[in-house]
Amino acid sequence: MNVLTKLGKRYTAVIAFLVLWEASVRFEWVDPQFIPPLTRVLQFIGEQAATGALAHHLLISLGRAAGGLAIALIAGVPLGIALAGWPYKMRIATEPVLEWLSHINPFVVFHIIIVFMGAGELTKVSIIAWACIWPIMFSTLSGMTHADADIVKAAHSFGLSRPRLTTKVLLPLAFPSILTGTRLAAGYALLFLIAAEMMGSTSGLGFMIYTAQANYQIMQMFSGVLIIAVLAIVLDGIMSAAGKWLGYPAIK
Amino acid sequence: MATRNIPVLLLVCLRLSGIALLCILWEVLPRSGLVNPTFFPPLSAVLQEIAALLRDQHLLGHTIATLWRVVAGIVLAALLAVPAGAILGYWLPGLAAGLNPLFRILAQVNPFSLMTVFLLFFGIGEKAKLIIAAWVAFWPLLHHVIGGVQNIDADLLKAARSMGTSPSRLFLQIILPGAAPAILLGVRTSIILLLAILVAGEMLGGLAGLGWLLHWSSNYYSSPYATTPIFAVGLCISLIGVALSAVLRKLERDLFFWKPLESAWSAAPAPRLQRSRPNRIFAVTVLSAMLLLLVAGGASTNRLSKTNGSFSGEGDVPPPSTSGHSSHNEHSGHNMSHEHSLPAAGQSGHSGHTVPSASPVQSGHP
Repeated sequence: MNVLTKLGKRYTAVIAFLVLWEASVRFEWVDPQFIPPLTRVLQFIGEQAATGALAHHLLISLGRAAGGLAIALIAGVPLGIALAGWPYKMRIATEPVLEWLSHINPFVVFHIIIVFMGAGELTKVSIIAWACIWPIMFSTLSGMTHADADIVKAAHSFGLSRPRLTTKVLLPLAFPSILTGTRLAAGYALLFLIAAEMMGSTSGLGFMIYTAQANYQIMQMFSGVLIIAVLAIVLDGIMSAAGKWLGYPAIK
Repeated sequence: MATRNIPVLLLVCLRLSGIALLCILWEVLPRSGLVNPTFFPPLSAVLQEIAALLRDQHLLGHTIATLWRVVAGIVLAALLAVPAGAILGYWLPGLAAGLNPLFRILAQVNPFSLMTVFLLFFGIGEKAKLIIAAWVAFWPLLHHVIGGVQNIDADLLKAARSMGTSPSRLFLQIILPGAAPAILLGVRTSIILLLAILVAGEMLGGLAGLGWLLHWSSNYYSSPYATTPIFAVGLCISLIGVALSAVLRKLERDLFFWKPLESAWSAAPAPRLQRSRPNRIFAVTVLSAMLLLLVAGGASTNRLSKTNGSFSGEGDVPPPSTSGHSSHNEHSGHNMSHEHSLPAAGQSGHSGHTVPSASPVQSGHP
């Protein structure tokens, strides 16, 4: 009970918003043709889930987002570490290039990659990876360069070698920053996933919403909107919980 | 870290060297044949293509259209988010904490998925696009404003209150200047996201703007290098992003000279000149350019959308394929009747542009 009231208090605004949504449609403050009531959207989601169509789209979308994020992590963190280890002058020289690259729109990349690889699964994953790699790389870099100077000095005076300094001291110190970047990237992943699926795909949540939009199936559209929002919140929650759970191993 | 006292001239050379190397590689690799020049054209060809697009395809007009949307969207978002953030952050912190989960959910609502709802309420004109742009920019901005207001030095606020400052003066003279660095940082982060999303939105359903031009040019291949227009438009889009963030960063440096520079996104801190007064010339220039853009850009964008709507690239966008959608169409049989009564459905160019199917891209490259 205690937990329930706590949760209720915390999410009062959310609950109030959902109630307002339902009420405003039921009392016809807004046209129910444009905005369906929440309960009917939920019912519709239930029906869709029963047929298995929803799970199919959801799994495909999740796989793409996870794949893109994984590639971005695998490429972005080592890149950031490498950049932080480079001499200062070299970093000044590479910084404008990286900044320019980070401003290249993922959809421009999409149009270019499509020429090389065709409109396959890998193309969609690589757009998401492109969008995600920059926040991860820059946050790794900033975490490494802003590491507490005293700790780094202490490690130096103990005679730690460079690889050990990086893995045992700098990386754990940069961990919170990397996690922040990854959270940001996860948000981007979902955002660009939907747009990518709308542009060139025949499956996934983005495609589902896209066909619903093209056919004015308001109900299906709203169910997609709801599912994506919930997905984003769940993903964000997992990330922040993971951060709390892992803590900062080096400092303890 | 390493030596921070690098002479300015060397610093400039270092900064340019990376870009120069990239340009040379971009030119040499395709020319030497290490990379297929048909797919990856050399820089000179891309620059020539930019010149050609400027001449024949109103590249400048499309650039202004995109910039106008970005600026108008961010101004709209700021007009809403700054007062709302100040009220929530200072006068109603309890409500701000209570609303935070809701804001986080709303911020996660995907702008692309809401496009149709906005279209239904605001029509397919410029208004719907602006509302979408403002929606995208609003949430990160609000987050930054609330954070900025709550981080204002409490002593300043107490002093002002003890002297009996009225709420309006408190807002204008304490809260707004105090939160200004956070607000500008919020504008900088959200404007980059806004640009990326706006370009995607223009690709999905627009009649003007760089996104539209990119979508159009990907359906049209010029000789001798097939993908040159894509690279040309892509280069323009990325340069707009670089320019916007550079202008905003310079504004931050000029106006908040007393604040240590946050270099979260830059590896190397810029050389800082010692100044005792804010440099306002640049800020005034930016502001007047923005106003000019808001006034003139709107008119130019409208005209450009109209001309594109009339001749339009309809010919090269095949009608949406029905093969993959048939099951959905059946399902929606009863909904189809609404379509003709909707305000958006009657307009010309609608069927071709707001419903560009995935098929033009896919059918080209099976």
